[in-house]
Amino acid sequence: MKNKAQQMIDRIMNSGATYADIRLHLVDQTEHISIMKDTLDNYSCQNKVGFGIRVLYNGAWGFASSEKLDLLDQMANKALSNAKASSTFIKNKITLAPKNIHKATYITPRKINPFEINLDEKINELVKISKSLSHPSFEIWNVSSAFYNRKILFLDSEGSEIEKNLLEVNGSLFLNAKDKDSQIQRRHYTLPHDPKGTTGFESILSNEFSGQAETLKSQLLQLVVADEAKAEVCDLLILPEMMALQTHETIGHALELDRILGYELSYAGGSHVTLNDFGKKQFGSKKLTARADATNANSPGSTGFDDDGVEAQNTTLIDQGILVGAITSRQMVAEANQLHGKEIFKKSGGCSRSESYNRMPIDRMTNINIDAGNDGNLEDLISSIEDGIMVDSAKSWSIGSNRENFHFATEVAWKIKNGKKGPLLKNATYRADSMPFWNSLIKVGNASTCKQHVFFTCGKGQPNQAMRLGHHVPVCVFNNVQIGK
Amino acid sequence: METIQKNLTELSDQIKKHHLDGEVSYKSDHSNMIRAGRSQISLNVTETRELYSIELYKNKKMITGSAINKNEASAMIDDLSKKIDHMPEISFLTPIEPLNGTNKKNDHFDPSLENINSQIMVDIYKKADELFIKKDKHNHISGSFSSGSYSYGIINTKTKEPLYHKGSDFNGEIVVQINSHDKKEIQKLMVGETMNDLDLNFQELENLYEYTTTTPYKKLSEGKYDVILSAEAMGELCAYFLWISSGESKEYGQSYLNDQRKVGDQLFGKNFTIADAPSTHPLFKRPFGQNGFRHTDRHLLKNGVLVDLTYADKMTCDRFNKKMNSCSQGEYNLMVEGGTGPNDQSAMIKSCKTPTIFINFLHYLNFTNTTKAEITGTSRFGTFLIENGKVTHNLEKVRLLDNFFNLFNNIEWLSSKVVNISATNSYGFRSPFGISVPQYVKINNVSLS
Repeated sequence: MKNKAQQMIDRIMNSGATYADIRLHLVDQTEHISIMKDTLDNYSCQNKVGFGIRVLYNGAWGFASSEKLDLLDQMANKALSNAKASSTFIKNKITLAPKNIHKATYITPRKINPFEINLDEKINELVKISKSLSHPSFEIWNVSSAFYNRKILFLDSEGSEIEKNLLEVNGSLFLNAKDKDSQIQRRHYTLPHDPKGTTGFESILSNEFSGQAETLKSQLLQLVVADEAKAEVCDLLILPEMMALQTHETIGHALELDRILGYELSYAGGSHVTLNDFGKKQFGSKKLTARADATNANSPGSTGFDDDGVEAQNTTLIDQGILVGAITSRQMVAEANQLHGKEIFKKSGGCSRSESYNRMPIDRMTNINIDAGNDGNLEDLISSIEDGIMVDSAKSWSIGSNRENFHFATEVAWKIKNGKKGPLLKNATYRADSMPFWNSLIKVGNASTCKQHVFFTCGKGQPNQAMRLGHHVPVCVFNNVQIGK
Repeated sequence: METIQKNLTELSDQIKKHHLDGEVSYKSDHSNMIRAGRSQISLNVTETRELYSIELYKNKKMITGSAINKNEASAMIDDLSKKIDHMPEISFLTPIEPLNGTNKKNDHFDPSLENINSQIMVDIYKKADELFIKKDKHNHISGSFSSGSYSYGIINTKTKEPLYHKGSDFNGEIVVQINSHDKKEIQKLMVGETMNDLDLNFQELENLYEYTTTTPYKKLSEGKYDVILSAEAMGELCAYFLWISSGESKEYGQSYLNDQRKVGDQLFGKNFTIADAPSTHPLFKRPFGQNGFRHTDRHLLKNGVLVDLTYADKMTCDRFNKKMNSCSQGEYNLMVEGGTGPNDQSAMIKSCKTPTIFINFLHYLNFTNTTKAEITGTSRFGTFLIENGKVTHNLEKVRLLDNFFNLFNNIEWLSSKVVNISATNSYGFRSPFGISVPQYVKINNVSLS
């Protein structure tokens, strides 16, 4: 297959293309188990193979994909003809920033491959966790896990030859109950990933997952008798699971270079950031340093190489509040530098990613992280707040199309008064304009407050693509935020 | 079609040979899409796929899997039939029943959409670019256009003949970014099931362009406003509303429905009616749902009264002891009944004697609290202030922060003319979903920030 794919690339290049690549998914396995109220709710599995061919012809892209490996030549022709049609409406020919050429292999570090252990064992483990979540006053409780295994061969016309074996493990817990006002309240939890750990069934067995049941149950039992969070303007302390979403929506998406350039306008939206802002814009307070770090060992955002064949990197995005970098690919880096008339980006940040073989790569987050600060541990942060609210776990989110504002609802909240945490509150929401919000960051917790939360369904692009990534973030405190309303 | 029918029948027979019950469904898809950004084509893609989904049942046990062709599906059945013995029992699981959908020939298939010459799609954006570049050389055209075909089949071991349906569709949008006016964006949507449905009239888009470029900018202060929603904005609201009005959402605690607010109650204004109308809807009629359930006309909300709760998922029905009574909401042929309000844009604008906010599109809607039916989202692609029968200002995007009780009890009027909008961005296992919605809907006292 590898020889045939290489020959196909050679043929496309001989037809006048300036670049071609192929991603062959030789193994693409998924297994999903869901246990609801201690009973199997769903078991499903899927095995696929497929490929996607990308061609650059006369400065324009064409792409075609199929799950029928015998259609390789036909799809190559289709990708080429698509590129030729695209080239009739191109004002600035697409070019690609230079890259290092790799002949390499990347394997996700793992201890226990979930595809190599007995199905009974997996189901029994999840049923055991489900039972630990149960309570007579709960309406629903659920444990689910999903496992993904992909063996991918990437070849391109520049000589790259990269083999990847990517393993991903997703685990989540969910429980809900009716509160004193007959509204449903819920708690959910997604398995955090230790950035220095391994990906495998060992993470489902870890205390980070199964050990959360008592905390979640206790919080839900408090929620059903809790008062509503009041509308007010006060300090806001955000715990890591919520902080991950905050970072994702208002730093991550805002700094995708294709959005900044306008390529996402018709769907996901643009960005309030412009090319003139790099190196100058006060994106946040001096407490804020953020990075795109694909070098974490254990995250679905770490894949060794992106789908341009560029190596994983750790790129600073915001340095002590100043915007210095973006989430970039070869195409967007070349175009941004050309448009700006001088170099903003030295090279691709290795963030060109596709959901699967049937999607063309676009600029995507890897692991968008915030550096730990030096404002102490969680207790220190709480005790420093005179009048505030502490929130965690997203219930819903809605963000402006240029990521200029947001409105989030959270599952749990606690009022903080004079440095003391009060009882749990329900239905807390908060909203703000993104730039004043990040500039109101007044405290950043130390490394003990950090966790890496992962997302498996970040949607973007037309055709839509769901991406997998992570956020390693500390507890943060913001000043004067609108709660409720 | 014959091949698919034969494959499904053979796979169903294979399940029977294992002395099991089961269901096999089939999806295929041929999709093409181009995408424009910054006034050039940024992506031009083609995809062809098929998928067999298998569910096996053995007394109180079940297992599911999927495969990308018939041979793999056959191997999957053999594999799952061994694994099913290792599955735990599901106490509430009920036996499968014969599919009740009909095989009525109801295909709406245009082969020219399946194998569209991508130059046709490219030329749509070239035409838009030529038009708007003449107005201002700094304007940028964006958007995507997707075209293709889909088919769906299903059989179970209690049913002799497979059900099968095939269709085609296109959907797309053209966005103009007006860079000389603070990068404001306006949009035109396109949807249809044959090439003849393609409407490349840009008049309304040009009107929005004029309002944006000739009226002064204003930032709205937080408060309650009378609002006119375009069909696209109203359609988006209705899709969200129906999601928390389903039987499944109620059972899982994701609905505003409870013992105090239930089927048969007058929950919304008497001028608000929504139906699933496959017999009369102009787009994407499906004779049966992907669950094999027949698709027939029904009111969902009639004169503000919730008529029925719909259930489409067997597992949910089994768990909560309900009877499946519907295809899934994503397969509905939704029609929001029109009223007596103005139809064309100029009449709509002239009708606004008091200050009214016109919202052309709603972006990133989400529930802040489903049990209170609270929703949040921002306006996009044109937000204007209308006063004394004229568009007087273009506005910064506004955030709608309200609940469906307030919104749908304060509808002043709905246009009598009903138009088709696309509620999907379809590509890859296309499942086109079109809603027929009044051209404009006026809602008073809406919370905006």
